[in-house]
Amino acid sequence: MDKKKLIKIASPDDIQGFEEFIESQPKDTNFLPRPAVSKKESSFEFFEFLSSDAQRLLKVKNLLSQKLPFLAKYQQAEILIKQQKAEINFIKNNLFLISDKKDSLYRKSLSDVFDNYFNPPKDSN
Amino acid sequence: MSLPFYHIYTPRSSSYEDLDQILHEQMNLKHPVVISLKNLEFNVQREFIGLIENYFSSKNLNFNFPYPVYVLTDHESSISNLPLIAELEELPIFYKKKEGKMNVKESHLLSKNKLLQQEIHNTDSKQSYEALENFGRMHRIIFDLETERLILKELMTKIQKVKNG
Repeated sequence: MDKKKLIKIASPDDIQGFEEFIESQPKDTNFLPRPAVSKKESSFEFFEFLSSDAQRLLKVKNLLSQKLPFLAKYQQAEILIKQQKAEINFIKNNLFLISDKKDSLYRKSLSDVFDNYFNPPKDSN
Repeated sequence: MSLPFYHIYTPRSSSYEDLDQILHEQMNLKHPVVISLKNLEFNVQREFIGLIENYFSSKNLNFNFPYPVYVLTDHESSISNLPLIAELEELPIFYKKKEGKMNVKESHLLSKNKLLQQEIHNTDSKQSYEALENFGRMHRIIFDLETERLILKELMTKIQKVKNG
């Protein structure tokens, strides 16, 4: 900070006893100048993009090298399909047995439909 | 080192040499690729799509990994397993960025990604593609059977409800 500015800002009580020291400080400091860094260089513009891409690549790698070989080795789909087919057959069988009874709702509905269309019209007299 | 943004290739003519120059084993190793066939005749486009597909299957390469290969064409996407697009706007925006200078940390991250890209590239493409296809097909069957089972179960419950009064 500029010496004159420091003296101006600080209250006289604060700099009491330091006047000589402040005055004796050389104008040019020994610190190296900060290197000029362009805005683009320090903006991490692509960092998030590259991190997301790294995550994507890692997931793809795990899928191809771990998950897919495991799935091929321990297939669950075929057992599931077998169980589902067995259950569907069981329900269909039950549905048929219920619907095939003489007094079933299915037969009743069918007879209603057929009677409606094919029965001779009842004589109103 | 370049960032993984879209690289667009356009065959200048309908000669196979032009296509041959574009296709090489590491074309989608470091960045996604778009092959634009829009300047070719409709029938030639169909032929080129077939050739590109054959190239990938004969070399046991995957056109989806590490980075996808898109084909810009007038044909419907259903004619091929390759991802076909009609307009450049249809491309995923994730890889649509302007090239720029990377800082040290970004360059370091990119070089780390290179290892992952190479690992993915080295996997058996045919085997993984078949496993993925099989997985999808099986699950479509499971979904259809489950839908049928639920319908039948609902029907059964309704009939039993009416029967019991």
